[in-house]
Amino acid sequence: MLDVILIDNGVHGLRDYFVDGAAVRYRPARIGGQWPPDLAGADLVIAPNGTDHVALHAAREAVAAHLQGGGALACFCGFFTPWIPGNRWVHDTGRPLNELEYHAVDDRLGLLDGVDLERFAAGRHGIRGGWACGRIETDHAESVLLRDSHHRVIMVADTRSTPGLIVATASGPLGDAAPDQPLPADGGDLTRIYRNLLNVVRQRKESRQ
Amino acid sequence: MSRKPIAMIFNGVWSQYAVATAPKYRDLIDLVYVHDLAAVDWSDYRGVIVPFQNDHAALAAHRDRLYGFLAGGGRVAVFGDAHHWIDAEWADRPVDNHWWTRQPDSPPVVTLDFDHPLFAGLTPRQAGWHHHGVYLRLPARARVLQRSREDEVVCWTTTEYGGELLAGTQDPIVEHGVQQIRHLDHFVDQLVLWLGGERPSPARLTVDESAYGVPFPRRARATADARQPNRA
Repeated sequence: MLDVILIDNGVHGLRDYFVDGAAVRYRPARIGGQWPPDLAGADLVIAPNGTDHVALHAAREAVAAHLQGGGALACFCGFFTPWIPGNRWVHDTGRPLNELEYHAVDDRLGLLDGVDLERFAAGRHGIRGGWACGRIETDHAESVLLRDSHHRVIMVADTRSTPGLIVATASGPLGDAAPDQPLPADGGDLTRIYRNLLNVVRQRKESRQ
Repeated sequence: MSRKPIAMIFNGVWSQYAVATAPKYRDLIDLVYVHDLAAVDWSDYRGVIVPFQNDHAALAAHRDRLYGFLAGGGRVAVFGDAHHWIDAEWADRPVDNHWWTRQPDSPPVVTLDFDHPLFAGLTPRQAGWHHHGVYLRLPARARVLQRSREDEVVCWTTTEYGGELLAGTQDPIVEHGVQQIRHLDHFVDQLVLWLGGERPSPARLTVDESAYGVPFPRRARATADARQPNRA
């Protein structure tokens, strides 16, 4: 069972996308409650899309300690304050998105297993660019998992900045509303990436035990 | 006294930050962190924006001061489920995110009153895009400004609290920050003019990269709420 702390800033509908399942349990860390949160024992800390990067900057030492202990962090949001070790996010509106493509760079962890990148780029309705609201600047080029056709870093899987695992998107949302349901063979790419991430965190947990 | 006429209640969300720090808006909009509200002098401002993706439970603790601002003649525009602190009932509705691929000239929101200053000079496409919910119940003297295709209430306004309270289920600040919808300068510029009395530059929203990767400055007097996050 994965123990996942979900950063919760009170945004309407947030918890609909992080639902307990047979292999995962979420512990919401509500901003406005005890803060910084106690991250002890957590396998993964999630900063979901639309989260509070002021509060996360205030919690950066707790997050760093979690990563130093080998824990995992996933941020699916534009982290405009400096709270993620080794990585920086910048908003970037200047590029046309209507022909955008994504390219895998180094997926040594298998986070993109089973993902059709062209289908993923086009989205369910043929609207491109949903994951390209900004770019990540990382201290470790080896961490780059996904670039877009403007050569911007869209996703990193960073095991260099800390002993833990940092997975960050350039604000692309991920989650799983029905964790015990199978995914369709011809879609569900966002959920597939998220489930791949949970599998990686599970493998890391098992290897440490 | 703030030199900026508008306070934007800020839940630490990047798209809210992106709009308020954009060169065309940064001299007009003051970001007020939702967990620093105890430190705010509302008399500093002419108008208040409460953007979508907010912490309305935290805001509700300051309900009396917000209504005091309205009673003094201020204008408040709220976007999102604010049932915690306004006298209205919200209901979720599915978000139509691909109307512009099917019917780009027929947005899923119908604007009824282009005489309201918020919508003055806007086209139907500039005034309406997707919405996240509807209002099932409104304050007694509210006037409906926008409806959904299904004829449910999307935006309303009332002056019964002194100033003007406008509530909508669209998400202009968040979507303008995200920049997936590229024509929201018109709406947000009009919103800023209506709330703050000053029209922003007509230029498109741009990004000042120096505003990124730096801490957000917290308010010095933000100590009244013992449950708030630690200072950055």
